[in-house]
Amino acid sequence: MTFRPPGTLRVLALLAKNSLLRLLRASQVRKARRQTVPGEGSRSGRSRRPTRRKRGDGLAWLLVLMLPLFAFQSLMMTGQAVVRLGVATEQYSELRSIAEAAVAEPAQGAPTDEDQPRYGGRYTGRRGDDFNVLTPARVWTQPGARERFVQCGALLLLTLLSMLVAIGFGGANANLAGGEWTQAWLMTFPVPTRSLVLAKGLEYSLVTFFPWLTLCPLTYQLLRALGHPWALPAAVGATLATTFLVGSARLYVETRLRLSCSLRALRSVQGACTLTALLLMALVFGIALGPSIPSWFLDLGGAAPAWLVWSPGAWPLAMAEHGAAAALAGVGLTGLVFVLATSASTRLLAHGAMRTGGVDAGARGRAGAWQRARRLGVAGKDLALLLRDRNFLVQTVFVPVFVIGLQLLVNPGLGKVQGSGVAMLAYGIGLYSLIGGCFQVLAAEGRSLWMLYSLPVAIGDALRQKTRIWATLAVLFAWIGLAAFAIRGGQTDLGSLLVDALLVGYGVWCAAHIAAGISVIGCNPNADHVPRQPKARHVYLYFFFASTFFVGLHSAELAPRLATMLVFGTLAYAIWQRACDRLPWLLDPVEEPRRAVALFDGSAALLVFFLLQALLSVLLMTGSIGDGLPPWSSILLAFVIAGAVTVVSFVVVLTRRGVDVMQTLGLRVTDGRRVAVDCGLGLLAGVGLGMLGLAYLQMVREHGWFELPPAPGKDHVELLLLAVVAAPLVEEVLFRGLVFGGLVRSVRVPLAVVWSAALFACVHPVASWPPVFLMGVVAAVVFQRTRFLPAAMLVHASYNFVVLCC
Amino acid sequence: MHATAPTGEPVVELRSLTKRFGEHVAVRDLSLQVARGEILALLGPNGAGKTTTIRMLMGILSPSSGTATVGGHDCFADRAEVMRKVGYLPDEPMFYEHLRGGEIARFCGAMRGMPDAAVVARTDELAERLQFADALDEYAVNYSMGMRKKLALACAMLHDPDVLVLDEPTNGLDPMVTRTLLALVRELAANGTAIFYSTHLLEQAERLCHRVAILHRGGLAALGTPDELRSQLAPGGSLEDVFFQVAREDGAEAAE
Repeated sequence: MTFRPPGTLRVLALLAKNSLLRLLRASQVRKARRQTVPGEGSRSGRSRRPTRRKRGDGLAWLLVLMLPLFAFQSLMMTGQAVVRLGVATEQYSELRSIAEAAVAEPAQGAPTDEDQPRYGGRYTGRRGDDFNVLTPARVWTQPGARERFVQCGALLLLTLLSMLVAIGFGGANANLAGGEWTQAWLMTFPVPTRSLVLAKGLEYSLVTFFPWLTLCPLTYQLLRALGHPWALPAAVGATLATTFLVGSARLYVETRLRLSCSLRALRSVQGACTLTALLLMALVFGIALGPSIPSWFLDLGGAAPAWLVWSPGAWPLAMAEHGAAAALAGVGLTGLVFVLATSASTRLLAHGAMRTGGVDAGARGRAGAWQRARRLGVAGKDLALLLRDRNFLVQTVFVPVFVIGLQLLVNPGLGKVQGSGVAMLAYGIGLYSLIGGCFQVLAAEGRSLWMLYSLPVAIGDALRQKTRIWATLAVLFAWIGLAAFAIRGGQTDLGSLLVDALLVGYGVWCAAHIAAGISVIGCNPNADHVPRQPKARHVYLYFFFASTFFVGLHSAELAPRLATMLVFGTLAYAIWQRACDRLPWLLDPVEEPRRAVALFDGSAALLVFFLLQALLSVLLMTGSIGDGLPPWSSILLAFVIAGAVTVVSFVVVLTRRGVDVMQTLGLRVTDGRRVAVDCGLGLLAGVGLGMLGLAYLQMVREHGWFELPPAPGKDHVELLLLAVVAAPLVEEVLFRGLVFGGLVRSVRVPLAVVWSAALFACVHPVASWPPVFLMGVVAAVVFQRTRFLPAAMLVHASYNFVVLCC
Repeated sequence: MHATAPTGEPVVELRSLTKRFGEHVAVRDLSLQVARGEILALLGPNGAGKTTTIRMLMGILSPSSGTATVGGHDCFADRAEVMRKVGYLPDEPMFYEHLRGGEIARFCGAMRGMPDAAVVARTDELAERLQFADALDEYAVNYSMGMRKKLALACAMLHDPDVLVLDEPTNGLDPMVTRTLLALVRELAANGTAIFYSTHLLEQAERLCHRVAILHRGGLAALGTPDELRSQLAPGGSLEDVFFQVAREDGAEAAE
């Protein structure tokens, strides 16, 4: 039986449907649900239900939220750039006319020194001048200014177009250097090659969003500034046409490269294209968003030939001058390029869709580097990979440097920071440089991840080794930045510089583990295509966590620095622990770790509790709610509500996850006599500690080590309730039950005891750190010994009671 | 024992097919014919040029010289026409990550111009025989190696092709499904389908196939029915002996 092959339109529809499904189903949110296709699942009774995918990381909605934000931001930035370009061209033309007048009539005088500094060789509408999100039509006062503006705008659009083309071949293009090429498989269908090529071209042209965030707003603002009456439809149409130009270019060059280069060479090409795109992006940003529009750019705009506006990509500006004729010409040009590109690609494929029969030949490099690196184990393999895969090298090492350079270019003020700003900047550099590589610790393994699992190395150790490479690299970057900025800022105090270096190094090292942890938690190695780029939502999450360390860098005193280091280290370890929990199940498509209480739960509970408590306190104290309660009542109420909400919600969350909460918190009573003994022990320990605490307070008063707040007095029932009932109940669940319980799973008991006690101390005032720390240690030891949380609560309660009431 | 080789008109014809990659000659002057209803086994050590030959047959690679035709149409110049009559099982089938098994089959059917109802019916029938009907609603990413193979097989047989090109089809299949597959292949051949069967399993080739072609270093080292080959090259031996005979000869040449 032979069937009539589908026509071109049918092929286009089929492949378009495929692209659409890929877009729709790509989102983790959709994957998280059980999916059945209507009519298919019920086709017969025998079909088994589709396997439930692993839970998503729940952050997909962030991206959806971000999109309109991005759109608004790009509209704002382009608006600003266009307004300033307009002002600059006017100023430039004014200065030139003064100069020309001086040549014609010497009596009027050459441009004076007063004119020069006004523009300083750089022509700027300062930021904030005359600025709207939608650029108003400009009134051109200087002769020639409008023409210069058009030429400069055309240059900008052309640069942007080149950037988009370069991005098309950059690292984000998985099809370019992937092992399999879908085109080759599609060729085994009885469909004309032309249809397949056409479908690919359409996909490349239409399924892209970057031009819509860059080209479209810029064109729109430029047209508005030029007073084009149909700016919006013209800009949208022009962008659509330009996406076809970019898509055609991508189609043709990709086909050509695929057929003529080895995979290794393709990777190098990708690296080069990413670099080119970055350079062009830096150029666009530098010109349009720098402190001023450079004069060489305005010169270039003046010197550029008039036909420039008719060139591909820039022709939309010709619409402002020549109207419909320009639009027709542009669309015609685009159509022509598209037709040429598709037919040329079809012709290329007429010589076969593959370069080699079997193994990709000619892809061997020198063996030397590998010989040396082999001794380093997993880390050595990664280093060899880094040096060989130039695309990866560019993505991970050069991109961060470029991004930082770009920031400095756009905000030159950044380079002149002083004091704690230097350390913060250096830390920021470290953070940036982690994005490329550290987020890829596992994703870079791609489909060969299973090999790591087959080695006689604990998978957690392999991950640690891999993370160390990127952490080292990032710390180096940060230190270089620190040194450079310190020298530039004239900082000579070696001691404080050393402290800064230590602090920054510690922060970056922790951040590396946060990045690696997030990437492991968010990575799905079972996907057929593992993306080589970090997901945006993971990067946002990483920045959110990592930015908490800025607090410690910002403060100059020791105590808050220590506290921040501790909290930040705990956060990093919490994320790391959770990642390690997940590691053994990473290659399993459906199963997830059976979870016990993790440090992550403790950290999250603490965060929720303190935020809630702070919020409620503010609301109650200011009388926004609760109608003017006395201060101590407000504090008590805030504490109780926040504590109850946190504890209850975490108990619910943990139970739903299948954790035996009663067991974990040691609330399951089995032996009445043991309970009595445990409670007595706790009570006794608490009273003893309270005595020590009183002695310590006495010593502090005598020696004047700290300024103590005035004693609140014993007549406050609320304070007593807070200290003796509420605080022990809530804080013991959080610090002993969740934090200590989470820690003790993966570190030795003494370390877990000290760690949780230190965390407990650092949420208290500095003056009380030593006795509170001691109390934390004892409570943790009691909890560990008895596995009965109320005993620890009794330690806490009796300690507080003694200190307050005696 | 296998049936005698059908001697109908040839459907697949390779004439002096050659493929060079730079200096390296992957396939050298290969001439073969497969008749309607014939099962031809393509044997050879790794790197002998089997997959390259198949890719030329599928119009993915262009021959450096010589031609491959199916039903008189050039596999390369007339690719789309040829593909109407050919079903292909790649050695490592790849699938779209975002489609379910059933959806992939429907996509393949639609790309061949089959009406949707016919695709669904045929997919169900093949899935039932190949024992993966309960997995049609699963995402193909979750498929095991054997399941992928089954799905790809179903996709290759959907349209009752005149020529079936199978690249190591039983690789990764369990014995039950292997038996079903072999029965399916015999059935198709009995109905006139020409089958191009690349494999490493000599015994299977001996039992299933009418004729055997052994490739070595890109060239055709031996061609004939298993009986002919045995009597010529390894009297009293098995096809395995023939295979090693061919490989050793070449090794001896290389040693000289």
